Amino acid sequence: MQDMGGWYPQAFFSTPGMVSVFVVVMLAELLSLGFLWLASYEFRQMMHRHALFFRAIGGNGQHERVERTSHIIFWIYVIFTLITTALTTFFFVFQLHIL
Amino acid sequence: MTGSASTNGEKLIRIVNQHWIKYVIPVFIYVVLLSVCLLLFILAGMTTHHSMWISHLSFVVALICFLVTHHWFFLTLVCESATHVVVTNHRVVWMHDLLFVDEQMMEYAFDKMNTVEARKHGVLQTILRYGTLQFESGTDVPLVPHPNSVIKDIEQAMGLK
Repeated sequence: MQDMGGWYPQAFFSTPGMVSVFVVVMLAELLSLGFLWLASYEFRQMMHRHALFFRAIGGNGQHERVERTSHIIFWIYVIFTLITTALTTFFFVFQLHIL
Repeated sequence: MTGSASTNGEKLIRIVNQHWIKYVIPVFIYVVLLSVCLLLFILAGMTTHHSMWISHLSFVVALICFLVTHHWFFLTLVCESATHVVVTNHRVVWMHDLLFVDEQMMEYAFDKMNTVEARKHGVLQTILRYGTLQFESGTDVPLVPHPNSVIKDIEQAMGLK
């Protein structure tokens, strides 16, 4: 196997086991990102419902202060998901010696 | 917190978030599950030169467990932080959404009830100052911080005090 600075892309397909692991890992990462997108859509829908409700009871603008926490947590969720997806993919692809 | 009146005369009196104690159990479960995932990742690394299949299996299980735990934890936090008890001059509304699962808006209209009670049960609730709002009908609202203060506002809105 040609030395590529410790990274051997051929190794992903060297055994049926490695191929299976590669496919499962990539599928899991894609599903994770897909779920994040769905969660993002659902979250926006929920916030929209809440805004309509507060508007209906004359609480225009006031709910934004109490719902700020939800927005902050959601953005932390998005950022953490992207970081963990990138990191786990990176470690899987470039640290094959672990496997 | 007071608000302007809506077209039907309904006026927002107060919005209450539930007590932070609700985050304790999810955080505990998250830490335990993350520890399990970490151990599985370590196992994957340690068995790599001895047993390839155990290494593969533990890596995949660790990754899936980690991703599921991560999404579950943050969605739980988001849903819990979006749970409010809203007091208006007409009703009390308990907004409790679970993303993908359920959206609840329990309404306790003042014209259908005469009394409302606050209950603190146990040492923890007394020390941390949270409790349950009990209405004549419908589900109780748990984990309300300073329930006596909330009850006071509700009773004022109902015209009882």
